[in-house]
Amino acid sequence: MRPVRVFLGSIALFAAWGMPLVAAAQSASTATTHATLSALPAPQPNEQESEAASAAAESREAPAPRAHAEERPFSFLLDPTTPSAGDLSVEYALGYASGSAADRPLPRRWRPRARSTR
Amino acid sequence: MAPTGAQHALTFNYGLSNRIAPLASIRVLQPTHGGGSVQATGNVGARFLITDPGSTRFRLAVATVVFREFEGDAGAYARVAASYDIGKLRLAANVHLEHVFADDRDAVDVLALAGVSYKVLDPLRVGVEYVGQDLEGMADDEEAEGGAHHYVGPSIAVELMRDKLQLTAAVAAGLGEQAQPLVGRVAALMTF
Repeated sequence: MRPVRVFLGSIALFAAWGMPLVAAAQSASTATTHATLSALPAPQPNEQESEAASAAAESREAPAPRAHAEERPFSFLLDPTTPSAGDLSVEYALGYASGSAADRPLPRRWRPRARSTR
Repeated sequence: MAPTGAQHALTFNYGLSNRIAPLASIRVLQPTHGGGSVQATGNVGARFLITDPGSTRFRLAVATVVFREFEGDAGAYARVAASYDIGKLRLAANVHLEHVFADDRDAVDVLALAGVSYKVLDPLRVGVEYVGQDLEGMADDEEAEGGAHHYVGPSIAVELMRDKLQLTAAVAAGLGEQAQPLVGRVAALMTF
């Protein structure tokens, strides 16, 4: 039994003495590693990753290219876009009470109710 | 008073270049108030894009058109159109100056239009439009069309088939007694 007690006692003494030293050494090593890594330049993506990232950024910022330049986002307003060179566009419009004149969206001559009762 | 009703318009636009687009239009009026027969007429003109065709934010264009009214009087107008894009939001305004070569008409009829349109989905826009018509009546009591009219209402626009087919629709309520209670417009544009 005595050799066993001596062995266990030796391990306990080693642990009590050695563990704080190991912990201190490890924390010092970690701090050094962090300092070294932070001093290094940021990792650069390779060329393919860089191109993919810039393409993704462009796709987020710029709208998708249109097949035809002429746009109709409004109904009454004229949008300041014209057909692309060589494009032919045909528009059918139906305006209720659109009256008579050109591209006017509304009746040119509408008898006002206030006057019609005079 | 000219007949009012449903107006059908078939317009052809051709891109002579990326900046110049001649147009021709055939219009048919179906009177819905006060009877009368179906009438037809037309107009010709061109649109000119002033800003760079590649511009994705600010755009400015001018349209000049000569026309014949359903009653037979000839006239001409110029419309300046501008828009500015802020992301998915488009702000636009038009100023329309018109003269009809007839004795009992105003020297110049003035229209102002303004609108905002927001791209909700890639093919779908919704917006609000304002139309001020015969605004010269605000300063002239003898304005031939009975004074200024103001209309405001929602609009919707849909793009299909990779921009080949564009559909728009809007209704607008009249503000004040001078204006009609409700007007509307639907259109389909096909590009070849």
